[in-house]
Amino acid sequence: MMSRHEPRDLFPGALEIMVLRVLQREPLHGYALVQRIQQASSDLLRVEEGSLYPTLQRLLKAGLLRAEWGVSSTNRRVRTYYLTRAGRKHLATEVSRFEQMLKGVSQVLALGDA
Amino acid sequence: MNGLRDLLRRRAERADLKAEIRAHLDEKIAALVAAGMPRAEAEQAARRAFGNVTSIEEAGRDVWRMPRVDDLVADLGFAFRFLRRSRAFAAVAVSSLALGIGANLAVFTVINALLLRPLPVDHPGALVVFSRQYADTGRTNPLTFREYADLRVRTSSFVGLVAHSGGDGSLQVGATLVPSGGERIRGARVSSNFFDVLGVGMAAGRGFLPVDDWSADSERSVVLSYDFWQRRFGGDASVIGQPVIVFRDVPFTVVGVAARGFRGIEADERTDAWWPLGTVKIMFADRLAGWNVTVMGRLKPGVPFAQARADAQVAHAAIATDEAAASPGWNDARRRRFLTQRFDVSSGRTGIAEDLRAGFTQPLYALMASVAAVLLIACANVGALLLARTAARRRELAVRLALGSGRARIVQQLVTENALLIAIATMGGVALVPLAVRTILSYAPAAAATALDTAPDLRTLAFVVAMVFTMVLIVALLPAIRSTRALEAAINVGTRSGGTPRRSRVHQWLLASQVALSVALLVVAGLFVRTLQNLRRLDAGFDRKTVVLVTLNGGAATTATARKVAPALETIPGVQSATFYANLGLLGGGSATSDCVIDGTQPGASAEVTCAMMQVGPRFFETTSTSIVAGRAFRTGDEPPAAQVAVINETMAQQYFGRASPLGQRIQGKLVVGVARDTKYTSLRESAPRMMYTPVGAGWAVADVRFALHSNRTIAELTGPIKRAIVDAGVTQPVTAIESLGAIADATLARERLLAELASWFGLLALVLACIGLYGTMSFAVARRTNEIGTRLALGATRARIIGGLMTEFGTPVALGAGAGIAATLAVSRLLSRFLFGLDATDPTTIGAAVLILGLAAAVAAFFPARRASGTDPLIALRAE
Repeated sequence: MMSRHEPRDLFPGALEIMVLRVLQREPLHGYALVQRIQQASSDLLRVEEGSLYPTLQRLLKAGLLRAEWGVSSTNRRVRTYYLTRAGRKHLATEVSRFEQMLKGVSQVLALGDA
Repeated sequence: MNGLRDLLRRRAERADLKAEIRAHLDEKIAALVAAGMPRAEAEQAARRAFGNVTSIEEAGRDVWRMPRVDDLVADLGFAFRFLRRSRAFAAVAVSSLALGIGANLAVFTVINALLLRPLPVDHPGALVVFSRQYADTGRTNPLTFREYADLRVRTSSFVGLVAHSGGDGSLQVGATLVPSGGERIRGARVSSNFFDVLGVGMAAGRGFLPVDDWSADSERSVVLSYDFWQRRFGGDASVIGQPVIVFRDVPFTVVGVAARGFRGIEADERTDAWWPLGTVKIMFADRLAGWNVTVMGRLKPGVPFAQARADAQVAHAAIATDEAAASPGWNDARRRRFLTQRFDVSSGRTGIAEDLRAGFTQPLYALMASVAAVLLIACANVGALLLARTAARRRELAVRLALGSGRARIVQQLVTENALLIAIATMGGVALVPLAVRTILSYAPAAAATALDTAPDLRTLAFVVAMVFTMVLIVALLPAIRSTRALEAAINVGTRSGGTPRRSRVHQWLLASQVALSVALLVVAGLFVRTLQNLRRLDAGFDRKTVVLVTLNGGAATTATARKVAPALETIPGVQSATFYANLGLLGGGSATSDCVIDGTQPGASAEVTCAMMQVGPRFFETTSTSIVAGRAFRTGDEPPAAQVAVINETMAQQYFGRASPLGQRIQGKLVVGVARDTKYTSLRESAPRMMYTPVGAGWAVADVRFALHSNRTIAELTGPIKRAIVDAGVTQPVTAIESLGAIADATLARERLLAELASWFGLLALVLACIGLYGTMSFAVARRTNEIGTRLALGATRARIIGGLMTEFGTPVALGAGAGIAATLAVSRLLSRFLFGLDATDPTTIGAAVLILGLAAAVAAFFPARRASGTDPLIALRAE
C-alpha cells in the first residue's frame, strides 16, 4: 500500500529497508532514527522527517518491528523501535533482492555508447 | 485473527503516533535551540523539516485502516440513526417481521420436538418400529407380547427387538409408585433387553438382568430415569437397592438409573421408571401373552432397511397364520380381518408418539405453511416499504452515484441498513419463541407439553439461518439492486425525479401476492373456526355443562371404594346425583371393546361382532343425562352375578336388531333391558360405536374408574366439598382430577382448537399486514404523483374523482390477489377437508366472508392516502415542478 506521502525521490521500499537496517544495529526512537539515516547517508539522502512515521506504522502492522515507550539518554519520553525476528528475516531477503536489483541497474547503466 | 487484533490496536496506535510526533518535534526544537537558534524560529524550522503533521498523522492512521470493516461500521451507524429517526417505519417493519419470525420458529420448534428430534440413544438411525393396522378401518391393532416373542425368534435382520408397554390408553397405562405415600409417575413395562438393544447406559446401578421374559422368575426390579432420580430422590445413590411399590402391593427393588437425557422411547411422554414386562405375570397371572406392546428393533449393521422390513413382514404373516389356526372360536369375518392386517416397519429414529403424531403432524405442517405465508407477507411489506424509502432517497443516491460512488458500495449500504432491520427483528422473534411454543403446546395433552423436548438444537439453528437468509434476499437484496439499477438509468437519462417507473410493477406484484396469501389464510381460518363451532354445537348424547368427572388415585379403585364414594358425593349440596363407571368412554380416550354376539346366533360373514363396553354404577344414565329411549335403566338387583343384564345403545340396537325390539334379547348371555341414546364414546368427531353397558358387580378392581356427578355448580365451587366428602367417607386415596365433561369434550377437540385459534390469529395478522402494505404502497404512489394529481385538480377534476381513480387503480391487484388466494385454497381443498367437520373446503359462505373482510379492510386502508392526495393544493404541487 503506497501512501501519497511517500517521498518521490526514493524508490518504493527504500525507506523501509533503511529503517530496518539501522534498527538492526540498535533499537532507536523516531527522532534518533532520522538523525542516524541522514548521518549514515552523509546527508546525501534528504528524507522529510515526518515521512518516517507512516513507514514505521506500516512496519509495526506487518509485525517487522515492535515499539516500546521508555526514557531516552537525554531523559525524554520516547518510543523506541526494535527489530523483531520476522523483521530480521525480512531485512535479509530485502537486502539480497536490493543488491540483485542494483547489480542489474548498474550493468545497464554501464553499457557503452553504440 | 489479525484483523481483530488490528481493530483493537489501532485506537491505541493513533494516540501513540500523535504523542510520538509531538516528542519528535520537541526534541528537534531542543536541538536547534541548543545550537543557538531563537526558540520561535526553531519551532518553525522543526515543523518545516518534519512536513505536514496532520497529513502524516492521517497517513499513519491509514496504515491501520480496514476499508470493509470501516465501511460496515459507518453503514451500521447510519442505519441506526436512520431507524431512530423514522421510528414508525422501524416499528412496523421490525414488529411485523418479528411476529413472523417468532411464529415460524415456534412452529418449527414444536415440529422438531415431535417429529424430527432423534432419540438420545446409540445410533438412533438404526432403530425401527413395528406397526399393525386393520385393513378395513385403518385402526391400529397393537402387537401382543406373544407376537413380539415370536417375532424375535423368526426374524434374523435385527440385533434385537424390544417390547414396550407404556401408554396408548390401555387399561394398564402407567402405575403408581409409592415411595412415600402416593405419587403418580409415568412408568413403562419393557422387555429385559430394552436398555441393551437401545444402547442406553446406566448413570448408576445396573440395568435389567438378561432373563427370559417368559420365565416365572422375572426380576421385580425398577430402573429410574435420571430426571426422576434427581427430582424425586435428589440424585441420592443410596436409593439403589431400596424396595419400592410400583403397582398394587408388590414390592420391587430399584436396581439402576438410566443415562442422563434418556426419557424413554416416547417423544410425547417422559418416562419416570421402567420395570420388566415379565412381572406382568406376577400380578395378572396368565395375561402376559395377550399384553399389548410396542415393538422396536435395531437393524444389524449392513442390513438394508428394505430387507429387514421384508424379513419382519414374512415373519409376521407366518405368526398371524399360526395364531388364526390356533383360534377355532373365531368366525370367518374375524379370521379374515385378522389375516388381512397390514404389518409395517418404519424408522424408529425419533421414537414413538403414535397418537400425538397421528393427530398433529398434518395440522403442524398446515400451521407451518400458514406462518410461512405470514412471514412472506411481512417480508413483502417491509420490502415494499424499503423500496418506497429508497425511492424517496433517490436524489441523495443519484448524487452519490453521479459523484462516482460504486454501485456495489451503495448496494452494500442499503443491504446493511435492511439487514440491521432483519437482525433486530430476528432477535425480537427469537425472544417471542418460548411464549409462542407454550401457546402451541397448550393444545397438546399436558404430559406431552412437558415431555416434548423443545430445547434449541442444530436443526433449529439451521432453520433460523435459512429463514434469515431468505429474508435478507427478499427484503434487503432485491430492492437494493433494483433501485440502484433504476437510479443508474435515471442518471443516464438525466431526469430530475429519478427513474422509478410511474406505476411500479414490483409494488403491484407484492400487493397482489400479499392479498392472495391473506385471503387464503382467512379462508382457511374461517373453515377451521366453523368446524370447531360445528363440533361444539354437536349433540354428544350427554349434557356437557352439568356433568363433572372425578378421578381418585389415578383411577385405580375397587367396588368397595366406589360404592362408598358415590353416595358420599351425592350428599354434597347442589349435587343431584353421583355415580361411577369404568373402562373409559365418556370421551376418556381409551376404549374397551369385546366380543358381543347375540345368543344362539352365528353372525353373518360380514357382521361385526364386537362392541364397546362400559361398566357403570347405579344412577349412571341420569347422572350423565343419557336418556333411555326404550326399556329401562339399571336398578338395584341388576348387579352380576345375581343378574346378567345389559343396556345397549341405539346404534347397536339398530345394527343388531334392525326394527325389531332388542328388549328381551340376550347378548353374550346378558339380557337386554333397555336402549340408551347414542353418546360419543372416545371422540366428538367419531359417530357413536356399538355400545353395551353392564352394571358393576362385586369383587371388581379396575385401573380406570371415574366418578361422575350431576350439578349446576362450577368446578371451583365443587372442588372443596368433593374432597371433604371423600375424606368424610373414610377413603384415603387422593383426588387426582376434577374436570367438567365439557372441558374433557373440549380437550378432545385440541387439534381443532389449535387449528381454529391459531389460524384465526395468523389470518388476522396476515390481514393487518396486507392492509399496512396496501396503505404504504398507496401512500408512496400518491406521494410520487403529487404533480399529476395537482395538475388534474387544477384542471377541474373533483376530489371524489381523484379518490375513485386511485382506488380503482389499486383495486386491480387486490382483485387479482383475492382470486389467486381463493384458487390456492381450492387447490388444497382435498387436504383441508380432512380437518373439517360439517362443511366443505369449498364452502361459499366462508370464502365469501373472507373476501368481504379483505375487501373492506383493503378499501379502508386505501381510502385514507387517496383522500389525503385529493386534498393536495394544486398551487403547491405545481410550484414543486
